Amino acid sequence: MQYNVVPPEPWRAPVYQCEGEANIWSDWRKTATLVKHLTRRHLAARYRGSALGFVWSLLNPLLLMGVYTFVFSMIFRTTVPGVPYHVFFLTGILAWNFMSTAATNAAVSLVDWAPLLKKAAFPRLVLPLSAVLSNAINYVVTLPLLLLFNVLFGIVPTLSLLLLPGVLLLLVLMATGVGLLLAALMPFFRDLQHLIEALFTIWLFLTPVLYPMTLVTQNFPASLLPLYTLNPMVDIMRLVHAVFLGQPWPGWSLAVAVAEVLCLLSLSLWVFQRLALRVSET
Amino acid sequence: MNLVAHEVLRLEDVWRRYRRWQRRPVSLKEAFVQFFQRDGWRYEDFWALQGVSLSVQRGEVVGLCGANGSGKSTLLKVVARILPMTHGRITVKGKLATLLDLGTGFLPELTGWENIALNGAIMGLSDSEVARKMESIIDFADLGAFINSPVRTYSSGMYMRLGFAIAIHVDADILLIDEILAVGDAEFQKKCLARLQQMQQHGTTLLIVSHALDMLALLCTRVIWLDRGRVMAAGQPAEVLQQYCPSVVLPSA
Repeated sequence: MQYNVVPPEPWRAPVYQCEGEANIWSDWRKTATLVKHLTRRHLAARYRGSALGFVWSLLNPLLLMGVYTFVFSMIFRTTVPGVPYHVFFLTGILAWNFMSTAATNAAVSLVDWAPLLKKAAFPRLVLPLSAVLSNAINYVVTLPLLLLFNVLFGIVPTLSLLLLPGVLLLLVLMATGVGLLLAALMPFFRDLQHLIEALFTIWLFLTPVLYPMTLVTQNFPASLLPLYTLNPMVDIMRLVHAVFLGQPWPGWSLAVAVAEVLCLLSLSLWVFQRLALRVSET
Repeated sequence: MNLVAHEVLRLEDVWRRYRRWQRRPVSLKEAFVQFFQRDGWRYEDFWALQGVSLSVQRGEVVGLCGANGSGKSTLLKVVARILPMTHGRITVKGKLATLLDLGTGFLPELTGWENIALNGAIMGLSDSEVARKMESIIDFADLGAFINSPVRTYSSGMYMRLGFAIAIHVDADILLIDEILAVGDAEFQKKCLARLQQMQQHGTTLLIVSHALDMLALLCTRVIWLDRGRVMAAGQPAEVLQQYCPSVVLPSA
């Protein structure tokens, strides 16, 4: 039984205003504390109950590296100018895994933490952000081991490693951009999860992780090459290879990739802020 | 529009709508299929809050009463910013703490201790503040050894005790409580009421939703009756409660 009324026209857009003291909505320090707590929760959730937890996150790439080296290097005879294949592969796959796991974890963050969302009030953005941050910490921790591995096979670290923070930033922005967009849509379309796995696999094959860029420029028809480089991860991955392995630097196309990443990030932020508050209704 | 002195919360013409589509897709597959069907695009609107305006002064204890589904919990959630409103304006001055439903924001797998830390951070406390207050919180909740077990093992009374203990230590200016004081044994209820009265004397504002009309009569300085999303009456507790439920027998203060 309802009263048949509607608000008076024109509608006043809803305004929620906080005055006075700093609270979680206005004080960035309090928001940062919350991000720190949630990041700790993400990391703990991953490693809870496993004594060698941290080692497992290396084991998967190492196993993959073994089998991919066998297939690509010995059966397909792929060669990478200047570096052994397994070094090339491990460097690439660790960076790729960081980006894709961070984006996937961010995507499911709103759904996984639903009990918190329905009953407590805080900026929704901290959930996907803390997911990306926990994966970033994971990645940074594995980097010394990667460098050691590379040194063992003859790749000496050079000054180009100074650009590492830049690479990290790019990967974080990419993961956040993709993750936020998926996170906003996931609570409304639950089967998106299955699609995400397939999409990331396709994306992996379209990026020079399993094969070097030189092979692409050799074998791809020149007219279609710009289409391939539309993928922002192409240039980001080339940057990763340049920084770690001394491969040729990407040219101006990197600037295009950065622009694409920033556009995606702005779009995702906009979509997320519009949709996130309605998650409590699902 | 800023708040006048002594005003801590103001709602102006707040409306909230639930829009129910005839056939709402819950998966991409369904959305894709329904996109091509003509007759799925009708909807029904349900207005949970209709033009609610309210002004709360510092130190008031405002009670909300009404039938189930009248919008009381929705109102609290909109004020807490857990649900968005469709129209209107809410101005809040000061820190807000909420006690909505049992297990307010508790993660089932974490222990009581970890949940205190997490909820402290959510409610805006810094790590040092939480560390300082931890002992006092655990003491008030009185859970014994259960503080170190995952909260999924807690009974509903324990949830409420933990939630209440955290909420009162946040030093909030406004506390929103939704129908949970009914859970909990008589002794804890007495402890809660005593603490709430103490907080009110120190200037905390309380917004309480409850079906326990005798408690509302005892505790509140003002009672508001909501029915189907509209404010039917507001004023002295005894009068409004009499209007809401003419057959109720109220304790004499």
